[in-house]
Amino acid sequence: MPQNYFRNFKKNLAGVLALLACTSGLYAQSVALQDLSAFRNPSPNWQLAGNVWADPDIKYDLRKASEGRSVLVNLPADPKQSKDIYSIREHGDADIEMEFMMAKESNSGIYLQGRYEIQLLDSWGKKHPSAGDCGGIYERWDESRPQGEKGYQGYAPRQNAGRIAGVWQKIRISFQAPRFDRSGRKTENARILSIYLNDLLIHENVELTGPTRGGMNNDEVAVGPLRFQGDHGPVAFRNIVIKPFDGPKPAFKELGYIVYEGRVLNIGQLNGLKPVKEGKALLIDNSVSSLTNNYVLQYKGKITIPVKGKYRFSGDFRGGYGNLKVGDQTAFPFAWHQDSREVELPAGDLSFEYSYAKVNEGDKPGFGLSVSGPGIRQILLHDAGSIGAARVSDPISLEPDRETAIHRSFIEFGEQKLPYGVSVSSISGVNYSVNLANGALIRSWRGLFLNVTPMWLSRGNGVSTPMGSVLNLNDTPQVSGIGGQPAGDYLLKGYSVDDDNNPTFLYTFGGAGFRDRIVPDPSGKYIDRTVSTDTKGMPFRFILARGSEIAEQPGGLFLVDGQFFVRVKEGGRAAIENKDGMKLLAVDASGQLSYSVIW
Amino acid sequence: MTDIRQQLSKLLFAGLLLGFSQLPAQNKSLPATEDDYYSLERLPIPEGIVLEAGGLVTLPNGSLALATRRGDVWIIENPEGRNNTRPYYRKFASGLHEILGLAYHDGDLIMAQRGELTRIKDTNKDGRADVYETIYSWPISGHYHEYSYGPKFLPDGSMIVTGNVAFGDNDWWAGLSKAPWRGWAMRVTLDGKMEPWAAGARSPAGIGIVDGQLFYSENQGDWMGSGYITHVEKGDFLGHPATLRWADKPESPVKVRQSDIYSRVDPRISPEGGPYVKPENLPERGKALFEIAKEVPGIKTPAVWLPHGILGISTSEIVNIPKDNRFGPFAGQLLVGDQGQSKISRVFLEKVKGQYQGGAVLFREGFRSGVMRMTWGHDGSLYVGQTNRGWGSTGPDDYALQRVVFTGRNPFEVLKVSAQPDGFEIEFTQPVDKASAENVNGYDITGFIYKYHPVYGSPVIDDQNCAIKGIKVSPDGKKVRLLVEGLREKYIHEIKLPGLRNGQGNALLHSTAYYTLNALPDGAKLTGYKTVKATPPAAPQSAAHVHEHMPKLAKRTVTQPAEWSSGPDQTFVMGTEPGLHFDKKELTVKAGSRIKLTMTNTDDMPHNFLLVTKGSANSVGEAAINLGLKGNELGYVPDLPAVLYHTKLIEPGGADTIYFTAPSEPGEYTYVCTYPGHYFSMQGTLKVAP
Repeated sequence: MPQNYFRNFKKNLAGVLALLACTSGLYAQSVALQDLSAFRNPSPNWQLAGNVWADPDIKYDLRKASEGRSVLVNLPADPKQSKDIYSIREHGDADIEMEFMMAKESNSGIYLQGRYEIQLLDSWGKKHPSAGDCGGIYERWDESRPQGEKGYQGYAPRQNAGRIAGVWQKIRISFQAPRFDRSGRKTENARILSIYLNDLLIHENVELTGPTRGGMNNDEVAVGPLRFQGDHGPVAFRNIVIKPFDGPKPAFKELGYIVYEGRVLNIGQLNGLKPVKEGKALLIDNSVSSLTNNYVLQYKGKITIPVKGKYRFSGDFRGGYGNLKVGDQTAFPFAWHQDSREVELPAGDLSFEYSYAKVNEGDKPGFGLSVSGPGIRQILLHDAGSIGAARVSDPISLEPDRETAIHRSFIEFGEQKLPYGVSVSSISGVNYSVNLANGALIRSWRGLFLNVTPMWLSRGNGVSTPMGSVLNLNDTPQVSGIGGQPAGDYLLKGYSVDDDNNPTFLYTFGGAGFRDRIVPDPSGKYIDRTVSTDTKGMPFRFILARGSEIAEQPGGLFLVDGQFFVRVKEGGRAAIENKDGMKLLAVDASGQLSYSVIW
Repeated sequence: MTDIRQQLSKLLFAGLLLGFSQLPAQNKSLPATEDDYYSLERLPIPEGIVLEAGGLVTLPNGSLALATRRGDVWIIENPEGRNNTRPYYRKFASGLHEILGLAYHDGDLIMAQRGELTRIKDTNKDGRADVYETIYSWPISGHYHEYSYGPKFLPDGSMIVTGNVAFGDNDWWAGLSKAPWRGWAMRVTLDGKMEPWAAGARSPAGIGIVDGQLFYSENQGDWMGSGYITHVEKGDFLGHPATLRWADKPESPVKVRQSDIYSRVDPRISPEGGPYVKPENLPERGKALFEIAKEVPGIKTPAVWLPHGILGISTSEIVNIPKDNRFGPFAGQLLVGDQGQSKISRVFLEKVKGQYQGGAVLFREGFRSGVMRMTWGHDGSLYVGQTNRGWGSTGPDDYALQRVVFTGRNPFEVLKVSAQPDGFEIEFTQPVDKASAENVNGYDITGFIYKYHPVYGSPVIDDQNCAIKGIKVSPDGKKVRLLVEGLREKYIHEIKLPGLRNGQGNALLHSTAYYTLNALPDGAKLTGYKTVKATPPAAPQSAAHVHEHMPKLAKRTVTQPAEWSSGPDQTFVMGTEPGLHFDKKELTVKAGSRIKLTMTNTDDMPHNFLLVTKGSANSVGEAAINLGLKGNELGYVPDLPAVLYHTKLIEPGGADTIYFTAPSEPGEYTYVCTYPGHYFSMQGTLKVAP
């Protein structure tokens, strides 16, 4: 089921490499690849593995860590002799998501429909990425053009969101295939709707006028294979998911509306109101009501559900209640203001009834509905004017100016709002945030520092948000013991700054003082942290990282959840421990500890 | 009338300045203006510095330290710019969270940020902070409205900080104390010990220490009928009941409980899950805070009310005027800023029967942005740090730094009003003309009060004129003693003095005072006075003044006219945007067409919608402010031909629908919100097409 695709897949086929391919009428089915049979004649450099690891310090060093079927890995004996790999399943409009791991200095690519390449590269630490760097839309090529112009229409990612070799990176591509008329003439170019690399939006609405350099063919097609480049060095992929959007769309049939005047505060009152207006409709549209409050607008008719499956309905019923029934399913049970729920529907023409009871005077009316489901991207079932347009304001950003910038704000971290946050940006382009309520290093990112629009536009909400690709760490106190005893309560003392405005955070645990200095690497690649006690030589225990999986690699590197490396530089030896089903990476230090977070 | 004359004179005066260098200050033919006595000088602000003042303090060397809402601290050296030199801005600190207070202590600066009291130090003396010490971190939930203010030092060396309440998520109008001590005053020592001090604040943006006593300033809002300043003692409850959520914690000195309030005034809290219904003003009288205070010990009522819409809409800093007379004749009195109306009021206090009370008079208006913070310069002038981001202000600039300079001329002003057992004594800065002072028709005294309810602000209630029965002018002509009937304790008394003249025949610069009469003093009754009786005022000019362009429909028609059988030609829904804006800046209609317009207010302050003739928005806005006490009742709609159509005054969360016929003459018309402080920015254009 598309909305639950990823989750179900991971649950049911955990650890199995799969291409989720769907054919008409079979949107809910996936095909697991127990072998490489999903690909066309894979060359021997493409293999399956249980897991892999890469040494980020050694060129092309990527190896199998275990046998298995979770990972598709390209292990070229001789890179120049290795070949690309093509899926048998072909795709048109699709969301394509996967994780990949680069070897140091390696190069690969994802070719959409075998033709449009999204570059994969070890671009770690590069300040100004080009179209040839990780996440770039590779340029097109025309030999007939003058020298210097042969390569054209490449698109550099907005920022370098690429990470170090040896960690799993994530890419999400929303692709719209080119459109053709019946005679096969192209009527609309292919389009990258968006690409998120490591959760950072790096492209949006990019038109592709034709295949990029190295496309499998110079023609363009409605459907084509997914292709991975294999001739430029080792690379690994896992959790590859193609979510195709080629299904027929739900549509209304015999839709009509009735406007009732009256104030409805519970579902029972929906009946027995006086109708003031009625008519036929193609889509939901609040503007048929001339009332602005204390009315009910009800749409009734049928909706054609083309395929059995799970459908997600998202509704807006501003300042009032919404009640949506589709077939025998209640999607919104007289919900307030807005709602989004998934229902399982059979195929066919189902009854449709959607009511909006507007009761709060101060809210502008707005009534809308959208649906996504098997094989369809979210589509609107309301007229564009039925809900007011969102306000567009001029953004405000914050960047360091000649020295490190420190910025205190509320921080949204997962589901939580942390009221005592601080974010720090060095001029080398490395940024991090600390929760000053417990001293934890909660996140780091490279690239642009902060979007402060939510905070500094009008009254603001006190929140600023990172503008780069964020590595989320953990919001748990990291000093866990002092002198063999539990650490005790945390108390913030503040911070001091050096000549470059780099802060050293000062706090106590159980009354014992700590100095916590976090300094970004001048090359802009990682951060160094030094934690020391006010009392010289005081033994303390420090949790470097928490995760589901922590693995030790050569060179003193620990890979945490496949996402980042930790390396202790001084002060003790890190050890992996099990606690409450989690892995901890802990150090017993005396007086001082230095370590790096590398991603 | 007086006010219109003042506006006119400002224009004339500006014109005269071009040709004359001599100020005609005491020229009888030209009424005095505030500029003649207290001039405003703008300090230049370098490009790129967003100087949204949240804290302002004068350093021992005469430099200013100014903390901004964006979290920077600037040291402004050479603020006076003496001998044509320029101030210099040095960035002292940055990265703090919405600083809304600043104090100097032993070489360091101390400020309230969102969640803590922070002391910043320059230990290596290079002009830049290098230590940011957390003195005390208080609980907050992370809501935007959880602003924190201060500190101000008490005589014992400890500090007071105050904090706003948050708002609900769905019931966004309802002040909530989501974390302990929100809406409280806290006493914090330099070594980081915190003691909850008093509860019941909603938006306590101003803290003042007067005679060693703590005062704070408040804005109108839910449970707050109007702005005011109040004396605060340990354990006081000041009015906002959401803050009592923490009153039974062991460290709380506050004895009042939420049930004490909610059992007397229905808080009309929306149920979890909705419907979320904003409480609106009810037709019945309701209760005033002082009436609840009579029944519930521990409630502190305001020392001096600052009537809403007249002396302000968002009260801010409280400062003491130094006693050295360098700032004119008001030494020892208070100045209270107002952010929303870009003005400063002057307050004189007295203590009667153990409780503070006193009066307020407008001091100076016309600041460039919202008056937030004030500090005295070494030159004796008053520096005024200003901001209006997201809050709006009459002054048009986003931020500003100005200073108020005493020109050395003595203004003709009410120096102070003091309560007497049977009336008032009014003292002036200059001897009054005895004949004008003994003319009872030159006075007008009205008592009134506000409701205490969960509704935003309050209408004026119980307003009642007081009869003046006797007048006695002091031998030196500087004091006038009035024998007044009908004074009511705890009520605000509007004292209008339109007829008073000085020896030169000039009117008062500001002729209205608002005196909060918490208690009548004991003592001798007035003797030897002149008995007077007011002549009844002439019948007011008919409001139904017919103008040739007057539309046929009433200016506010709320039901569809019967002859509109086919309904309106066009329907509009106008909304609000934060920061004092309509959500549509332009509407286009056809001349003479039938228009239905619904104005919805999704903001957290009241608004209205007036369609006015082109070019008249500002004068209509000013006329709305000049409605004074009646403004709220009239929806801030002045009775002027320039006003074509209008809605009612719409409370936050409310809406109003009107029907009107578009003007028959094509062209551009203006729509404007005339709620005090809004008209400058809250305007749009109605294009009437042929």
